[in-house]
Amino acid sequence: MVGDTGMNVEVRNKQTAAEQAASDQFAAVSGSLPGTDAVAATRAAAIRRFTEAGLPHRRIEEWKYTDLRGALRELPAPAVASDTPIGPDTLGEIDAWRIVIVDGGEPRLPDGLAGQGITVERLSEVLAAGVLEAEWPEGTPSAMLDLNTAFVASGVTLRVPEGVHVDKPIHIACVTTVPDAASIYLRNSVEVGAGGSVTVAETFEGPDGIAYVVNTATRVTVARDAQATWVKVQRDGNKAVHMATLASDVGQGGRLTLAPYTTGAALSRNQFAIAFAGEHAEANLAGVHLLCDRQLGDTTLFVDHALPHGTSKELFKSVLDDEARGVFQGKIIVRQDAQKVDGRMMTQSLMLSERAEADNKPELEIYADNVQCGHGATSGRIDEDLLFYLRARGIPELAAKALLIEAFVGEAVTAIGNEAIGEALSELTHEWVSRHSHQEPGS
Amino acid sequence: MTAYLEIKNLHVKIADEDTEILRGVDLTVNAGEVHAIMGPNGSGKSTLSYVLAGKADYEVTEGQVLFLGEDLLEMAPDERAAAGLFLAFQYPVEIPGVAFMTFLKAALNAQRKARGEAELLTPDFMRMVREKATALNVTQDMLKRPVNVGFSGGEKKRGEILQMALLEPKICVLDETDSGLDIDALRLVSEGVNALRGPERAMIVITHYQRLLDHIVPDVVHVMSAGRIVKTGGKELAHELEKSGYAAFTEAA
Repeated sequence: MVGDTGMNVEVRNKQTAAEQAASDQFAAVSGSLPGTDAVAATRAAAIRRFTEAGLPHRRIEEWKYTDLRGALRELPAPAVASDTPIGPDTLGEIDAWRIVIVDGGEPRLPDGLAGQGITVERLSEVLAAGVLEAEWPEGTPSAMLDLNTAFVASGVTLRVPEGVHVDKPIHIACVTTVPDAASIYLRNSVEVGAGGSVTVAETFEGPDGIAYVVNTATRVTVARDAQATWVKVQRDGNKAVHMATLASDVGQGGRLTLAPYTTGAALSRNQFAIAFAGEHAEANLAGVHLLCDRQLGDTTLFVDHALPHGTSKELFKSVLDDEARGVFQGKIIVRQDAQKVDGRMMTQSLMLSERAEADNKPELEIYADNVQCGHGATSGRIDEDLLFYLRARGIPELAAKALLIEAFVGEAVTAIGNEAIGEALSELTHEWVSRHSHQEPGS
Repeated sequence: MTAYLEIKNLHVKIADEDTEILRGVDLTVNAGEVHAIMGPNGSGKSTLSYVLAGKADYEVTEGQVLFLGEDLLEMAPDERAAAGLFLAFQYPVEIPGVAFMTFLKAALNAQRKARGEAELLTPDFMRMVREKATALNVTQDMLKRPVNVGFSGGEKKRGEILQMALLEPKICVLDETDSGLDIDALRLVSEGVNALRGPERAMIVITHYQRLLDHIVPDVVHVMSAGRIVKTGGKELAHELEKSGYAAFTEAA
């Protein structure tokens, strides 16, 4: 916990290069960012907060395992929008309504989506109408969200009207093609009206070898008896830094599934929050980290059970190779009025290397007296008995390992509950595993 | 004619420990023969089955095992399986996340590939599984579930025999297949095993109890004690043991 000792009275070092760059860049581009005066004021407030607090570092409890200040040496300037045509992407040939955003440019919208009864707006239109969300719930405010608020110019806002069930997933493909380091800011949101349902898959990908930065912020609002599944597939390039903030709330009788699947970027942080806005609501998190080399993947979740009869389930699976680090922090608050809450959190790590590291931090804060909450964390190597059983049936060692790793990840993928997306993610897992089911020398 | 399996003076200890578990086992099994190995707990029966299948926890310190004339101990576990050796596990492990059907297909096709045969097409494979599963009362539901997860003791053993029927090995090692089975399950499993007997296949049936051997009638019975085979006889030896117990043989060792 953060104490009140002198250590935390901010003995600020002087601004880092990245922090200085943020102020300089804001001064240079703020005049040309889209939005009304009200939007400009929100942006200015955000950059002030950022400048005062600076980037988070390991002395801040929630950032203990992910030293963003140390890792983000430079903050590249905002990317210039690109017209690059985009071919087959992360989810392959999945049948979906596809929205493509390249290098933070204007979203390219598919024909026919409007015919579904959905409202689709580009963020630039929303900003022109004077709206830039400034109120973010507990668990989401951070320096990375402030940067997003200051600079963001692209994204989509989806509204699914009452009772509308979108016939196939909406895929928001966020593709980076920058030739040099650049920062890409995005803000997407979906609101599902009462009794409606939608599945959205947000995917991120970009080139290896370029130190670009993706900073994305997302709102998911699930009204009464509505259902939303939000899948986030992060396959950014191996030198990229990926920062994501997601705030969600789920109304009475509603159901929300969040599925972060992380396999890209040198460093990534998912800062997710789920708030219960009605009784008898259900929220699920089905997460995956597939990390290798010196990658760091951090998923930090805040679940706020403010109301009774809520159910939250988290299943998080990490597969860590080489010197990779997987961080999962999950905090569940059950407030005093939130009786009969059922909260279950399970994190499991499969270590393919002795040098990999899994940091799991479950935190339960329970103020109600009639609840069921539990958490569990496991971490281990591939089970030798299972491996022997498969080999005794004729399956060669590498194939047997791959089968076991895919099965391990598959439990979380299945929990997403969408067959087409599940198959696409299984295929991604298979590709990753094919490259990482080797035997570590000397083990 | 080459013996299917020839074990010569096999000495085995647990890796990283000094205790010798097998202390000079000699055993020859020919095509078409069914051998039973009986013996008290701790006599080395299960160790022998694991060593034959290639489990890594053991170290062979002396002796030789020839499988169809080839050096078995030089082969990896999956190579042994592809060459036609099958171990029916005493405790089949649960594999969460891998559907039984997927596993069967992966195993069969891996073996076919290793032997240079074409992989089976899915419809042909499904037909083959359905046929053999029905005979063993393995339900469609079991085939869809993850391997052995939530299976009863009887279901696990039927699952082992289904694998054996599908993979059509040359030599089957059954490690206490009767353990945890009630009378009906024992009959069903035994029928499954008997259906696989044939001139081109040999079996080693490891058991504590004579009752399994009422169903799977062996050609040869061996008594194992303290890491050696101490007596060999016909099927009547099993009945003799049931009456007199293992004590006489344990002392003889």
